[in-house]
Amino acid sequence: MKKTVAILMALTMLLALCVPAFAANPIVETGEQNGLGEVKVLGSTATENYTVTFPATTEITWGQNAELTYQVRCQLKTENRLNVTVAPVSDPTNAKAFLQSAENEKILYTLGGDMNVTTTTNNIPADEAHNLSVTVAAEEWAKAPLKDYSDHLTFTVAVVPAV
Amino acid sequence: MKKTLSVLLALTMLFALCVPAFAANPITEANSAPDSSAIIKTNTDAFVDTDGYYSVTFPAETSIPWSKVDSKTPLNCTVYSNLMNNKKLNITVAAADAASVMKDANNNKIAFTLGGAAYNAAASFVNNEAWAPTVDITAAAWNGAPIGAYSANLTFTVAVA
Repeated sequence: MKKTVAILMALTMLLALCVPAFAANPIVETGEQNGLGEVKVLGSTATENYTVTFPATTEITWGQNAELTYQVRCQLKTENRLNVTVAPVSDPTNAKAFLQSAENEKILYTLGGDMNVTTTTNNIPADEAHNLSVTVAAEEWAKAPLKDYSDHLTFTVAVVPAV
Repeated sequence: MKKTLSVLLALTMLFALCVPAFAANPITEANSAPDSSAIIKTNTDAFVDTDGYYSVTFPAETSIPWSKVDSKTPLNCTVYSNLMNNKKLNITVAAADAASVMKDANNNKIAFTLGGAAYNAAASFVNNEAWAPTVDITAAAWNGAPIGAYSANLTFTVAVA
């Protein structure tokens, strides 16, 4: 009896080793000669994703203008686009943005370039570059005491419907 | 009891072998925070060795009208300094000729002195401040020299301290 039970249990274990093999998609049409199966891509349940990469810090050489580049990558639904806006924290309207020192002295500057970008497609698989410029007039440099000044730029990203 | 227990354990092991079949693709994280900020800041490394920069503008040539009385003729200069580390600008002007005389082609001389010949900046940052040292000639010096064209050179010396 013991031997019989042992043999039966061993056989059962061997058969159980085969179970993971049936995790694959079954053949739908049993009568087909080539055994094709149907695969559905459920885009409605996929998660939209995007990446915007920008430099954490950009240095402006005294007396000169500066440029910085940010990268955009996205994978969105067909009807959506990615919108990226950039604005100075000191003045979000960019009318009188300024770099500020610890002693509250200011250097006015103008932010230019790709400050408001909406992608032309919903799928950008590789990084797409966009340029920004920081322009300081010569008279602003001349009247500012030589020391450290800084400001922050806010990057705002949103998924918007295509127009 | 032992047999029952061993059978149960064996069944548990059998069921555990099926678990990998139910492994599914993990749900990946979608998007990060939609708002973030970057810093833009000035870089003054170029001035580390020189403590900053400055300019002193002075007239290349100043005409002094002939006079019979004491005269003081200003030299209109402009000072700009943008210095770091609490450095300040000092400027002096002096006659290139130690005798402090203007001479004509016949070696006639008119003595002069310089008034307000030293400038000491009050701050590290001076934004186009006017400075006007003067060429002072006494009536005696004017009247003791034949009328003619006299000239002398002046030396401006700038120091950062």
